[in-house]
Amino acid sequence: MSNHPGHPATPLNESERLAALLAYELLDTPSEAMFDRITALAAQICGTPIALISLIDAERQWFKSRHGLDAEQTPREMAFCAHAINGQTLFEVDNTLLDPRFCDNPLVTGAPDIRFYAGVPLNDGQGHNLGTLCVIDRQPRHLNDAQRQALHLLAEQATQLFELRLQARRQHEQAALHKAMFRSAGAAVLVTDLDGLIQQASPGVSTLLGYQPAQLQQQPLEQLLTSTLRRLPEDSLRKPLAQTEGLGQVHEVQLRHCDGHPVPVLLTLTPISLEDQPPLGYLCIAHDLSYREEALQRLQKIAEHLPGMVYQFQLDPDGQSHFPYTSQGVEEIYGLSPEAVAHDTLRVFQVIHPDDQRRVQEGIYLSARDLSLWHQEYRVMHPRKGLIWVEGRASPQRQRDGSVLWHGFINDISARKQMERLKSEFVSTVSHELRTPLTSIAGSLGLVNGGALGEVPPSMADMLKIAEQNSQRLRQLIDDLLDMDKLIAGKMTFNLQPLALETLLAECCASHQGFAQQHGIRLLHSPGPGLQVLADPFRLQQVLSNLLSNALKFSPAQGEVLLSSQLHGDVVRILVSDQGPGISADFAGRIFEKFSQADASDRRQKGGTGLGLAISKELIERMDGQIGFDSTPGQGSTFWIDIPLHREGNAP
Amino acid sequence: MPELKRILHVEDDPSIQAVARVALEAVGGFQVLSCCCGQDALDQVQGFAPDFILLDVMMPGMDGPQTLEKLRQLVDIGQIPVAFMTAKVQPSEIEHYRSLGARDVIIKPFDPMQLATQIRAIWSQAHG
Repeated sequence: MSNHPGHPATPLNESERLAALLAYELLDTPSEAMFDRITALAAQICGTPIALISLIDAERQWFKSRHGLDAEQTPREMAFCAHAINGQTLFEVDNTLLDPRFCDNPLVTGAPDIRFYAGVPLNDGQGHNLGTLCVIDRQPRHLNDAQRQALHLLAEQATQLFELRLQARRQHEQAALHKAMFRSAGAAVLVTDLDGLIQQASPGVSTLLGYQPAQLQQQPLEQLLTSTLRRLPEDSLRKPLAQTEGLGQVHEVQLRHCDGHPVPVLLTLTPISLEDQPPLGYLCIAHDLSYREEALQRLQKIAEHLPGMVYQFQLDPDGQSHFPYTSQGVEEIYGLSPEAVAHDTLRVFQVIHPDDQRRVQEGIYLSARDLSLWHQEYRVMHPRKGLIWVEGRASPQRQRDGSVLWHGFINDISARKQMERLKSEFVSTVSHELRTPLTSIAGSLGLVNGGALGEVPPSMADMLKIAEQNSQRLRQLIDDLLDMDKLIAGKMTFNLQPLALETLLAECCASHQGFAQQHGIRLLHSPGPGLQVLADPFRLQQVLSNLLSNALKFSPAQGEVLLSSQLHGDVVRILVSDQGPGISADFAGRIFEKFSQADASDRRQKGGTGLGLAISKELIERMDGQIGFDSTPGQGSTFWIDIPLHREGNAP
Repeated sequence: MPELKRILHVEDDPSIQAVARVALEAVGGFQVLSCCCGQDALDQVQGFAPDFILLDVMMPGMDGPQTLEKLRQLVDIGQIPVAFMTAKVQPSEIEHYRSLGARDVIIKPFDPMQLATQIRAIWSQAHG
């Protein structure tokens, strides 16, 4: 068939042509009067029974308008129009029977018995012939010039209608979209004229403000603003609006509900204008912010009932800082209002006591660096309350922009600090007042028992010894209480220095020999590797003395206590081993707690205060060491202390 | 080395005064003058001419260190060693008292049977 002279050639730009045709959205649509009038006119002018607007797609010609023909479409290969679109001007066949291209065309040999054909390509102006406007007769014919010219003009009109029709369709769609948006936006939408008179109101205004949209017609927008913001339109609405170039301006304002109460909204104002022309009016979109207001009020109510302040603090990557949120309690802590500190953190730092400022700042940077809990106690020079102590805690979170955001709270702890000071003064006063008489009691008894005043009558000796032992226990208890108090208050100072361990162990061993002999126990020192440790000599001796006297007290007569040391990686382990009863699993868990002894009766039998091991643990931990024990009930115990090894370079 | 005989003891608590006197006289065999306060000591130090001065730190009015300061103007503490007695036992404090001119510090509560021995040890260090 392809070499049949009647087979139409395919245009060179066929694929683009087809795309252009599809884009007009004409194919297979119902007939439209405006196109039917063109075909009727064409038929009348040319005196033909048939006129068509034919569109050629890949497979067929399809008629957008048919005048005098029933068929809706025909195959492309038999279409006269498929030939016509290959040219730029009128394609005319006066007598098909005499034309070898068409004489055997089924449309010639059968219905509709075409004898005459004249078609003008419908050019879209981009070089695509979409189809033709054609006239057809069942007998041979010849068009005159006037008819040909009319056919060209009608073809041009048809293509222009294609274009306008498409634009109208687009506009309808756009309008439908706008209408849907206008009606269903989760906000109230208002359109005003240049004077701020409302022209349209979306149904959203009834939800947001309680008005029926029709009630607002021709009402001034200003009337919806609460009195405090009445002046806004003059300065903020009208003037800047005239200057903005189509971009919406966003304001947080309060609108008036029809029943009078204020409604917080985010108001976006956008001028409505055609390109390069002054605005026709304004589009106002009001988003309900009352949910946010409610959340804020809830937070405020909760915050009001908390002591101190709750807040967010943000540190930006460039070192700038601000408080995105502070509760009213910021006045209690810093004597400043939330508004005053929001963007000016310097004002907060200025009221922190000068001696604490640096520490607080370093604490914040450390917390930001490690994303660790910020927890500090510091002093504030409160403008109303004077010098106060506060305690702050906040946990940091890294934000996507690289800043760090803390959520936390700060409390006034002046009362607690005052109590602590009173307690500390009380403890030191009481202990001094207790020690003075105790010195005399213990001293007198010591002199009497020591025979300084002559032989003690045997009938009194036991009682006097009991009195002396107990006065010593009392002294130990006071010493321990004072130590514990100092440790808890962090007031004990440690003088860490390199120590020759073996010398120190030998001294400890020697000073406990007397006590060992009293109990009939052998106290041995097994020399170790001769290392240097980093510790406070006085405090280390205190701990060793506690461990040794415990070991001696709990050893059976004729038993043995061994003091030794070993290297354990970075630390030196000092061991005190005894052959005592060992430590029961039950007691093991609380052995380092205050006032703990395996058996309440131990305290009286063995003369301890129950504070020794608790103090030892604190002391060792303050020297970066560890304390522990290994024990098998019935087979003795070994208490150990791990103390950092001294190396060149880790000296304090 | 000169012989240690006479000890001036300054202490506001009469009970401790009494205990120390027995510890030093009966156990140590020294001659003791007890003073109840710093001023008392200043008034009597030249008349008594002690070999050794034992000074309580915490006293009402003039405390131990203040008394020592005044004593230095009256006697040569290079020849007459002074020791403090105190309940405060922080090593740094002991250093502080030494820097004031004290030979040593005796910690309260003291062992009365050992007090004379302790003082003799300080004495022999001072004159050794």
